[in-house]
Amino acid sequence: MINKTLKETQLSDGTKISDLVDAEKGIISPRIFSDQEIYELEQEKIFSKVWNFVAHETEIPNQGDYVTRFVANDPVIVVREAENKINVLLNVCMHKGMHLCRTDAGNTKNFRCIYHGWTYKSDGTLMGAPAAKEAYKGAFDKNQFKLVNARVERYAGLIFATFNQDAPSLDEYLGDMKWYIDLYFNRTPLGMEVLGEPARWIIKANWKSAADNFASDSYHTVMTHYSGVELGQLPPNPMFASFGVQVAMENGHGIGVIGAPPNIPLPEYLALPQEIVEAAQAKLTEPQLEALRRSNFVPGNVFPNFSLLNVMQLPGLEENEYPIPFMSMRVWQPKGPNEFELLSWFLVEKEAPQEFKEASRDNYIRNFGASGMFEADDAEVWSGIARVTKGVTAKKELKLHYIMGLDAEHEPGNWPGPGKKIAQTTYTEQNSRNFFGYWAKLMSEES
Amino acid sequence: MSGQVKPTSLFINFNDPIYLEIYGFLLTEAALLDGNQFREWTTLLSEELQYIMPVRSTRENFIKSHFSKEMFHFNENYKSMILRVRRMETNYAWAEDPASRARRFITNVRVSRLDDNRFDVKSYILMTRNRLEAVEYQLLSAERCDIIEKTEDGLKLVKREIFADSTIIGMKNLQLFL
Repeated sequence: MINKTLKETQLSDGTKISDLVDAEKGIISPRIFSDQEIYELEQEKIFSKVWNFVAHETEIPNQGDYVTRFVANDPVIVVREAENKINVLLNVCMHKGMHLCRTDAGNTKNFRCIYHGWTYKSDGTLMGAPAAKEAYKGAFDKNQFKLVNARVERYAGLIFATFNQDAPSLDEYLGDMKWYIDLYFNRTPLGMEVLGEPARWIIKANWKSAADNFASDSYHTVMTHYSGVELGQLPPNPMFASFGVQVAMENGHGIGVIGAPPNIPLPEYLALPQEIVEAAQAKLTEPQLEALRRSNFVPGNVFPNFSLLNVMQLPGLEENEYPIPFMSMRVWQPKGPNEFELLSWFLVEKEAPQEFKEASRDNYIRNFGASGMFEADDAEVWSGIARVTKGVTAKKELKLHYIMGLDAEHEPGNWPGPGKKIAQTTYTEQNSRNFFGYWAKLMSEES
Repeated sequence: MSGQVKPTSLFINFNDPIYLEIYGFLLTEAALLDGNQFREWTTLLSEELQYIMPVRSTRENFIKSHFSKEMFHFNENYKSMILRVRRMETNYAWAEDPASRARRFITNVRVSRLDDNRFDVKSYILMTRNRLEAVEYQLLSAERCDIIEKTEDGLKLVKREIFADSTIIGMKNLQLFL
């Protein structure tokens, strides 16, 4: 299907990726949101090449704890072999390819295939097979049948995996994003924990619509989420989501840190409880603390499909109420060009009082998650894009415009954090251009 | 876990007037929700309401906790349900404007008495949902475990726990009530 003799990847009709994405100018063909061939290429050239987020360490706190997830479109088992050893194993038996572990989570000493009983340790080593000596007449070298192990690296409680032996270290891949991960995932001495299981649901949309939204799109807030304005959860000023910085980083990562509008005091430090702010002061550097102080609404995306959302919001339940912050992370797991599974987790500081943990979780559930009032309107937009970009004319003639901020100056100003490009407003599509630019680069490379 | 029937549970007979009254209450509720009459629906809710839908996951059979005790699709009280209804009443609840055509089929109703005024009510719900130009219907089936109270003002829903059959919700939002 793919012509490999040419230097740049070509689709079966001769179209090159550079015909579809001009990241510098912000011009993008809607074909990248709706094409089966592009979906398959993404699995090969993006998801199989880069680090995939698979789980948070606190989901599998004890030896033998496991969850099942995906790396690209391959199912994997994420298992804690020992206190400081986590393995990610291809969830496929080495004998005849049976689905080895069929549950979402649990605790086990080993994984036994229900087809013939081949049994593996949590590092993937084959322990044995029933009657192996007799059945295989001595021709059975169990050392040859270790489960396929992914490379596993961790940062700030986040577990990433890849089957690409040539990928750079996770450290190098995350780059400047680590500074922001410290800030939003790991700001206190004990760090954060996931509460319960991820909520999972299906959205008939392209995963890039969601990733781009979290990486770059603050501009949609006042229109898409206008019901929040009506309910008093958001201010009516159409510029309110613009006051902050948008930071583009190497390898396609991006974050927006929205703060208070001028002359409108909003609580500092995301309205976190005082004891959490004090704990953060003991852990973070001065520049990080300053960035956290200026944070009120923070969406971001670790390329390709792992997003974070740390925001404060009025619950909208009482007359004189105070905003309650919450932290969510999510994976937009592609299931086809027009479908992804959304896995959404809630996180909270381990040090936080139980009462805050529950109030924060409930504010998250009402606004994000499958029943979330904000989340629902985002999904409505992303699925709408998927519905109307499949046609011949849309795919061949239409160009979409991610041009906001093209003429803007990129001075870091007094922003204390790192980044490749720092815009002094979140009403810019700089991070979209950064996201799709890196997407196009990986998609164009010959493997 | 839901769905577990205690062999000693004594259900109120299916021809008992209170059984029929409660069954009628569930059908009225479904009709109001199917008709997007959310404000009218809230008149059936107790101000003590707890409305809970835990996240489900697949576990080995020997583990009984398939439903999360810490994470929920809904974890609501009366005030937060009113907030959700107020949102539906704005002109900006895009996810349900245009609205879904949903239908709630309520069956397998079992009632037992908790005390003079409160009843433990279990039912199955099958919700079909169609929207925009879809030709395929989205489905959600669940068991509901309710506490319903008889008051001077008629029957009121005091508690509802929704135990879905799927671990992955097969629709893009839960901007409707079950």
